[in-house]
Amino acid sequence: MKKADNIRQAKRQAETGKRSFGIRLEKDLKRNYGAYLLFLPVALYYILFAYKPMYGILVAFKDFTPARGVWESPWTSGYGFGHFISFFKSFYFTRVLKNTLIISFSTLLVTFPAPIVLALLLNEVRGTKFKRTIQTLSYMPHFISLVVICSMLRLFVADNGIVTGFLKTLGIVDGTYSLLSMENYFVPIYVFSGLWQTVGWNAIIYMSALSGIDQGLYEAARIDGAGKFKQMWHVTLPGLMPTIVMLLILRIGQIMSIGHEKIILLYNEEIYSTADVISSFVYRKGLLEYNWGFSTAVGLFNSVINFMLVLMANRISRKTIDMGLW
Amino acid sequence: MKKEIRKCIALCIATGMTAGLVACGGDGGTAASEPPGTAVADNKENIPSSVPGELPDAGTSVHYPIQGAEKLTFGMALANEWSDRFDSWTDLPIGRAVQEKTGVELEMVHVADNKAMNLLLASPDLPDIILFNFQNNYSGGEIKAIEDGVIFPMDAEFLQQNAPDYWEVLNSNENIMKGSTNQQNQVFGFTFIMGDDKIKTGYGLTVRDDWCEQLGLDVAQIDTAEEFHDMLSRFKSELNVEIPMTFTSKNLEELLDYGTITSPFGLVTRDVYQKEGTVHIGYAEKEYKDVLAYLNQLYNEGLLDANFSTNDAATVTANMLSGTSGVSTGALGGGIGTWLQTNRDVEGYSLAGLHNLVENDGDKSLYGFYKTDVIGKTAVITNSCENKELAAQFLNYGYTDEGHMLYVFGVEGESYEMVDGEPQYTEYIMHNPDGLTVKKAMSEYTLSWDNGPFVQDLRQKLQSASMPEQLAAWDVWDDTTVEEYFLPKIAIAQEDLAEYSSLRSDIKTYVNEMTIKFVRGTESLDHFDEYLATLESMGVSRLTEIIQAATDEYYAR
Amino acid sequence: MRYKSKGYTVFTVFNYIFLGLVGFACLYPLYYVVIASFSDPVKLISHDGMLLFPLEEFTLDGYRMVFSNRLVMSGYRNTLIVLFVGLCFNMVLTVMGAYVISLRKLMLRKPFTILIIVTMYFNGGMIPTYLNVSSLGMIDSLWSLIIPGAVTTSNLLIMRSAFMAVPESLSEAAEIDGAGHRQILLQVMLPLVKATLAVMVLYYGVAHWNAWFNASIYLRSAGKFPLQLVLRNILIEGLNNDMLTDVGSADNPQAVQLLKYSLIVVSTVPIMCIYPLLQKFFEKGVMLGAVKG
Repeated sequence: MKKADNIRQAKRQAETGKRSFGIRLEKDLKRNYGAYLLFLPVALYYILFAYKPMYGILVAFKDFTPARGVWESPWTSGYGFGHFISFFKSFYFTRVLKNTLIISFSTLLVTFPAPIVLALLLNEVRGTKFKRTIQTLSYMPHFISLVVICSMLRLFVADNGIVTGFLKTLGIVDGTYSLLSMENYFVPIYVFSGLWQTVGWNAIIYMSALSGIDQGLYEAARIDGAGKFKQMWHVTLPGLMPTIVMLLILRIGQIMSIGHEKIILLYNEEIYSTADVISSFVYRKGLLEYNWGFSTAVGLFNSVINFMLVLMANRISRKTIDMGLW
Repeated sequence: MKKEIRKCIALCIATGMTAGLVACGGDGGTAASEPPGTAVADNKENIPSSVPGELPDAGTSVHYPIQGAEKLTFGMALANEWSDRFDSWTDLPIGRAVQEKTGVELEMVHVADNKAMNLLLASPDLPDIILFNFQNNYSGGEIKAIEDGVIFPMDAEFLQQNAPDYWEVLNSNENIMKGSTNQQNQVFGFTFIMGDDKIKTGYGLTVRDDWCEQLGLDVAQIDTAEEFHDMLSRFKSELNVEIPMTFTSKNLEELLDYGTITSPFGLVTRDVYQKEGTVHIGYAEKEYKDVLAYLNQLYNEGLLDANFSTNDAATVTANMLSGTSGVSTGALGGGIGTWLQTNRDVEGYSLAGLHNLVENDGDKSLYGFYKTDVIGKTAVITNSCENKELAAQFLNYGYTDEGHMLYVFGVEGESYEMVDGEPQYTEYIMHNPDGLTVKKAMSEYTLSWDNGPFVQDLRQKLQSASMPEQLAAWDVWDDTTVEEYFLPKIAIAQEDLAEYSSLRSDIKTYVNEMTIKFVRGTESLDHFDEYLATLESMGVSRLTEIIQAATDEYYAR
Repeated sequence: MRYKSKGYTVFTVFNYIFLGLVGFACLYPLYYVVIASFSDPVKLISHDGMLLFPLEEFTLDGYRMVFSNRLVMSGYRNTLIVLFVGLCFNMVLTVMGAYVISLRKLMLRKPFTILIIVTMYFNGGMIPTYLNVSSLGMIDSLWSLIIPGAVTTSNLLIMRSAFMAVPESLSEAAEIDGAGHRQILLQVMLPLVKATLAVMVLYYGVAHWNAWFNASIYLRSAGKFPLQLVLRNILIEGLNNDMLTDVGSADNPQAVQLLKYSLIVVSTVPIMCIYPLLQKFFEKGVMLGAVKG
């Protein structure tokens, strides 16, 4: 069917030479007007709520105050790049950039594969009750507010906390101080608490993807004599692949964005050298003083990098495994 | 001298106009007639002696309730203190009373928080009046908001005609006037004014009095760095106190920035201060090293909280309540007041305020916690307001005698009673039958629990901090010469603002980081010179220069 | 089971143990919060190690404080309204949008997709968005919590990939039978992506439940505040009683601790119940062969 369609289309193109884009579009609109009609409300939504306010990006280039508005506020110095220059020239620019990247990549490395593993392991559980219970339990930390999660974390890694106690029996620390007053421990604490917070919640999407795998494929594998591990490797994992790839590309597009809330709740001045990231830096500098221009500029800087990373990731994935966001 | 003459003229003008404009009712009044101990009484010496005492009747040109007044819209953030019980400020007793007394009907525009107020300011249609802390929550403060066309700037003539009582308060003290005007001498709004120097203070060290007694120490005698050190080490060695002094890293900043522990080492404060008009920055001075060395010594001897850098306020409170610690720091209400109140049933538990540390016994400390005369939220008239005169007349009410009582004490017979000629909060406020906290109960009847367009009254704070230990601590903490060094409410020039905030934020980050490292010894004090050099390379001189320029402008204004 | 090897049996044992540990580690925070909400707050702070039982004195003060606030009940109501109405908009728009950009034959599919993805990275920021919502007359209306967030782009993409996983032959067969896009979507596609639909309900539902920020900038009357904003305000009010407060001495610092934990219990337990209800959609694997036949 599809093949025939393609051949017909190719023929038509050959007949008319290179048809203009407009005519082809008109044909497509006519043939699929039902689909375009379905898309209309969504398109309107995006135009109205995403593209219409987008002029606000200009704030990054302006000495913005709310009362003046985007158009009336004057451009910053440096041909409108004043906020960017002040960010790049800041004493702490390299430090916060470095910390952002370190924390972000470690988080990606640890927290991205974990939910996949959890979903695979849960998939091997036959007892429905046990499976449901564990799954329900595992996503609970997601619902506890960050403030409380962090205050618990601080207790766990305090001088008398259980984590500190555990490390003390291993002889790694001496247990007089909170782990959070030592530079080297911030990244592991941040990353592993992040794992704990998100692993169950993030496994949900994989669980749903698992249920979408054609059971006939397992049947076929079994007939071919594949054991359980082989089935996992040859049927389950490939079945999850599209989901994994999509989420990984999306995740790569968040490398620059580490939220400031958790950082601020966990860090202290003494460990700024490993804990201070772009968002917490901007929080102290811009948001607290309602410096809209500066925070928008840094946000834009992050977005541009994130977007370029997504473009790159998508391209690589298209080229290598022919999957991607578009 | 010149100043006084100017004030005289201003007053005469106001008086003259009044006489000519309105036949005045007797119920209003001016600051001049206020009883001692209230309002601007501490500035009495500034009020020209040529103003006779019997002036009050003629001093008012606004007659309340204002006849035939239109409706005004009033923008204000919802306060959690009352929003769980009332929908709108005008439903509260204070809101109802203000409308009734002034004759102005209000239509409230409530927003959820400061961010939402910023968004409201971005909208084309603003309420006629906005009560908001521009200084902290609007980039560039009130002065920028005038430039941005939000705030309607008021000149002398406008105020004399429409807000004579406020005009008089402004003229009673140079700092009040300058704190309420921009560089062009335009008044930006109806400001919240500290009516007494004492209100501006109220922060310091707090110590377990009963423990000192046990050790035979007299708390009142402990005021030098050495005595403080001895007390802490005796807590540890003789009473086996686990953490003699507990605090958070934020507390440490306060102790240093409010100069609580810096005087013995010749450092006024770690923060910015001025000496005869010249700006200094404490953290960039070499004396700061001695302060750090002292703290580092205390830390090494185990007298300070080993984990202060990761502590939170709840831990400090728990330490102070449970007997884990004997010394901490805090404000009149939140620190000593809260701890005493919570542990009031614990036998023998008593707290006392400790004098700021000084060089020699009996000295006043160089510096201390202090506030500017004008602070917090300002009620401004916006340019969207169509009847600016009426808005000014309405806001003037808070600076009349009657309005002062309403905003500070509320409604007589409900929220306060007159006892021996002095207002006393009723049981409804102090021990609410429905279990409301003092703050929540006050929020129904007054604005003095927060900020507003009136002069804050010392009696309000005296009554809300009424425990004898609190009052005693307040006196002890107040023994400073902070007025000599305190930087007034300067206005950074608009063109320097971006550079100023960028420099300040980076430098502050560095100073806080290094301070903790020096105190805990993770960074050796041998590197103090490198620390100074780094500050220099970060632009601390430029920062001083910007502040100096603003200070010069302030004194020249 | 004849396909089980010895290695697999060992694996199964370890798997159960490991998952049990994961379950425990994830249960503990909630357990802690529940226990803490009944415990003496001063003892709680000085408590060392794992907390397993409520610390004396057992107290219900936290809950009393939460429920004495009249805004809590109206908060529940507002949240539920936004949740249900919002979910309808979310699901309809997301399904329609995702279906269309999953159609491989559509010429404008790629530009549409890219234009949508761009909005994940670039947006106008808070002020223009606020002015936009304001100009649509939605200030101080619950619609402001529903319409401006009607589609979440990442959810749209997840939904789209679920549609794309369905073999094209199925929709083509329906097309030959004369079905239009509407019928294909409703009768062929939706039954096959039930599990993803359940995920969408969960994602959007939880997002609505936890949302407070838009409410704080768009709403003006406290009576319209959703639960999370109310709770947040209670919490902030408690925290504001910090060391520098002027008025006070009567406000109990321990109460704030209690309040914090009680608030979490009050606000999270209801939403946690939604998941077990959706879980059954993840259980049964799809038999595509059967559908085809």
